[in-house]
Amino acid sequence: MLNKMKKYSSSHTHEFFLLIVIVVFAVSLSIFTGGRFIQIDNLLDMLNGNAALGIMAAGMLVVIISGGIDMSFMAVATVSQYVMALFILNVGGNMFLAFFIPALVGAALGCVNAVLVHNLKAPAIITTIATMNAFYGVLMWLCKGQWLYGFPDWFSKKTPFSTVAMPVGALLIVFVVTAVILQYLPIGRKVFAIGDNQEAARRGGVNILATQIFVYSFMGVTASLGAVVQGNIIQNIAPNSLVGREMEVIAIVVLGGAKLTGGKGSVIGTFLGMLLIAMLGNGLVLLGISSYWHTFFMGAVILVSFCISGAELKKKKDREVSQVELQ
Amino acid sequence: MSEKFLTMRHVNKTFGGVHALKDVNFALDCGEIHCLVGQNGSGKSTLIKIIAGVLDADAGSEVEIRGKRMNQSGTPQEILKSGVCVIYQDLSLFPNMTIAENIAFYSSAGNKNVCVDWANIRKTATTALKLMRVHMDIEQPVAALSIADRQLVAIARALAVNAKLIIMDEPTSSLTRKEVNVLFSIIKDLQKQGMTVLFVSHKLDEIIEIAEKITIIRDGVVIVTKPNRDIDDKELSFMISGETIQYLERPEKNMAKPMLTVEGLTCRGQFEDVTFSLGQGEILGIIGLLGSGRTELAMSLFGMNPPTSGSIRIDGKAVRHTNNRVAIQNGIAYVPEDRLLQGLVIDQDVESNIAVTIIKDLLNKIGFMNTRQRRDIANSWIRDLNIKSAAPTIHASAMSGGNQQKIVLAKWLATHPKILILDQPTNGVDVSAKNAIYTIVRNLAEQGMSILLISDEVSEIFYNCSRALIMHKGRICKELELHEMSEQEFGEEVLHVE
Repeated sequence: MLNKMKKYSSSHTHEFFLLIVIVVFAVSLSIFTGGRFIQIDNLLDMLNGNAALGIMAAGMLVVIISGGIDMSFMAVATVSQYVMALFILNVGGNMFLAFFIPALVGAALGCVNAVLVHNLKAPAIITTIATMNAFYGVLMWLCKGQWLYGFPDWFSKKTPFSTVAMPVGALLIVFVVTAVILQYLPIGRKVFAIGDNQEAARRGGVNILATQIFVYSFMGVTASLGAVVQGNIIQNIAPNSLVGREMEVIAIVVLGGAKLTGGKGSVIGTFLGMLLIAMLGNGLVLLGISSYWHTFFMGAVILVSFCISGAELKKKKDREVSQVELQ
Repeated sequence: MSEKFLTMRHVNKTFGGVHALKDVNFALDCGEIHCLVGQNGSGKSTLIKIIAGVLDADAGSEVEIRGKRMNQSGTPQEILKSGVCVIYQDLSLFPNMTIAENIAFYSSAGNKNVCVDWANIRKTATTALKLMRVHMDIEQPVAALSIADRQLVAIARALAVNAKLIIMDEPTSSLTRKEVNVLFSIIKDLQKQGMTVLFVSHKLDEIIEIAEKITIIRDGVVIVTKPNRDIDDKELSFMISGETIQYLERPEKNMAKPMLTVEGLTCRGQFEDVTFSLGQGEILGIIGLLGSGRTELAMSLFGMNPPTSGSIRIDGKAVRHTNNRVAIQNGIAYVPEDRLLQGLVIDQDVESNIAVTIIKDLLNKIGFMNTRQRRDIANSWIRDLNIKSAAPTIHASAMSGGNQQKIVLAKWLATHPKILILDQPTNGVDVSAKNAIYTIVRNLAEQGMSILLISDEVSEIFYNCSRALIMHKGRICKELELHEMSEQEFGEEVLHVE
C-alpha cells in the first residue's frame, strides 16, 4: 500500500504539490478568517459557486490533453443556455430535458469547431476565437440581448438539499465520467495519443478527425451542462453572464497540471485546480477585499500557473537533452 | 535459394513530372538483413513507402509480399497487419505514455474492445520485450528514456504487431558505439527467430557491418545489389554519389598566435570542462555524434547559450558572451546546422538574406536603407563565393542546398568575422557543392580567418583540419594531430571513443 502510494506520488508529483498548497492555503485562510472559512456552509457555498466552471474545466481538460484549445466554449455555453431557457419557458418539459437539450446543442456546435479545427489547419486558438464571435454574434442578433427569467417551479423551486446536491452532484458525475473515459475507454487513450504525437497516432490507425469531433463535442456538452447549472443557481439567463470567464476555466486545467502542448493531464489535478481557484475567490470575499481586486488576483494566479507550466516544460527539455548527452 | 519475402519488379513512381523511381527491381529474402543506401532525394524513402503500403506505385509495377500481389496502398491498420513495420527516424513514440502503452498501442488500436484492457497491454509489452531479451520497467514514461532505449521500445512495438519485416530508417545516427552494438545483437537475435530486417541510410556507416546484402539507389535507379563482402568502400561511395570527392592536400599546420582560447567552459547538463585553443588561420575540427554537446558548445561560443562557468578569450582579451550581438561584435560568426530553420529567411531574396547581418552599416544619414550599396555587397559575395544565382533578387527557397549554404556563409562573412564556426556545413548538399565549400573555407583560413569546423563526418574533418577534437557525452575526450595518422586510424579513434 505504502509502496503503491509512493509510486503514485512519484508519477503525479504535480498533484501532490497542489494538494500541499491547498492544505496550507486552507489552514491559513481558516486562521485569518477566524474559522469562518472552514465552516461547512461556507465550504458548500464555495463548491456551489464554482461547480459550473468546474464542469466546464472537465471538458477543457480533454481538449488540452488532445493538444488543442477551445476559446469558444463560453459562447457555446451561452447559446445552449439560451436555447434551454426558451424551451422551458415556451414548451415546458422537465429537469432531464433541461440538461439534455443544451447538451445536444453543445455537441453540435462542438462538431462545428472540430471540423473547422481539423480542416483549416490554423491554430485551434484562432479558429475557436473566430467561432466564439460567430456563435455569440448570431445569438445576440437573434435574442437582442434580452434577459430570460420567471421559470416554472420545477426549475426554480429548491430545497436546502437540492440547492447543494444539484450543482455538486452534476460536478461529481461529470468528473467521474471524464476520468472513466480518459482512463478506460479507447477513445480516451486516443485523445492522449493525438495530443502526445499526432503523426504517430495517425500511423497507428487513429482517426484524427473522429477523435477531434469527440473532443470538441465533449467540450460543448460539458460547457452546456455547466451553463445549465449556472442558470439554475442564478435563475436568470443573460447572454453576457458567462462570456469573458474563459481564462478562469483554462487556468483551472493548467493549474491542475495539464500540459498546454498536449498529451498530459488528469481529472484529479483539474479537481484540485478548481478547489484552488474556488478558495482564492472565497478567501478574498471572506477577507473583505474589494471585488475589483478579485480580477487582479485571478489574473495573477493564471499568470503564475502558466509560468510554472512553462518552467516545468523547460526543465523537462533540459533533462531530456542532458539524458541524450550524459547517459 | 531461400524464399522471397518481398519481390518488386519494374516499379515506377512519378510525382507530377518528377520520376522518383525508375524501373526498380528489388527483392528481400526471408530472414536476411539488408541495407538500402542512397543520398537524400535518391528515392529511398519513396521505395520504403511503397513497400510499407503508404504510397501506390504507378500502373504496371509489380509488388509481391510473401507471394501475394499488393496493388493498392492501405489504411494504417491494413499496413500494420501486412507484416511490414517501418520504424521511422523520429520513432513515432508517445513520450508521455508508459513503455507498456507505447508497445501495445499499435496492436490494440484495431481491436473493438469497449474498455481498455490494461492487463493485456502489460502482457503484450512484457512478451515483446522478452522476445528481445530486454528488461525495462514498463510503467515508466518513454520521455524518461535515452534515444537508444526508445528505439528498443519502437522495435518491441513492431514485434507486438507481429511484424515479419522491420524497416529501420537511419537507426544508428544518434547512437554511441556501445548502443549500436546492443542494437546489432538484438537484431541478430531477431533474425534467428525469422525476422527480415531492412536498414535504410544516406551514408556509409556502421550499418554496413551488419548487413548481408547492400542495395545502392541513386536518382531513382537501383545501381546494384550485392552481398556485403563483395564491395569495397571506395567503390561504394562512388556508386552512392556518382562522383568522387577530391580532397585537397591538407593545409600546413602553422603555429600561429591563438585567436580563441577556451578554458574549462561548462554549461550544466550540456557540456563540461571544455578547454582548447584555436590559432589564427587554423581550421580546427570538432567531431562528435548528435547529442554529444557539439552544437551546444558552438551556441555558447556564439552567445546564444550562456555557459555556467569557464572562460573565453578572443585575441588575448577575455570576453563574456551573454547574447549573440556581443559575440558578433567580438568577431564571431556562426553558420548553423539547420540552415532552413536558423540560417535563412527562406521566403526572401538573396540580397536581403546576405545583408541581414549588416543592416546597421547600410543605413544612410536619415536611417533609410541604402539599397544600391546592398545590391553591390550582395553581388560581390555572389561573385566571390561563386553562388549560382541569376540575380540578387531570386528567392532563397528557389536555390539548391549547396547554393543556400553559400548564401548563409556570405551573410556571415559580410560581418568580417575573425572566427568562423561552421556547424555541419555540408549537411544535405551534393558532392560538387561540398568541394566548393571546402575550397572557400580553406581560402578564408589562408587569409587569416580562424575556423572551427564541427562535423560528424570523419573524412570531412580529416582532410580539412590540422587538428581535431573528439567530443563525447559533453566532454572533449581526445585531441588528435591529424597529419600524424591515416584516415582509417582517425576513423577508428572516433568510432571507439567511450
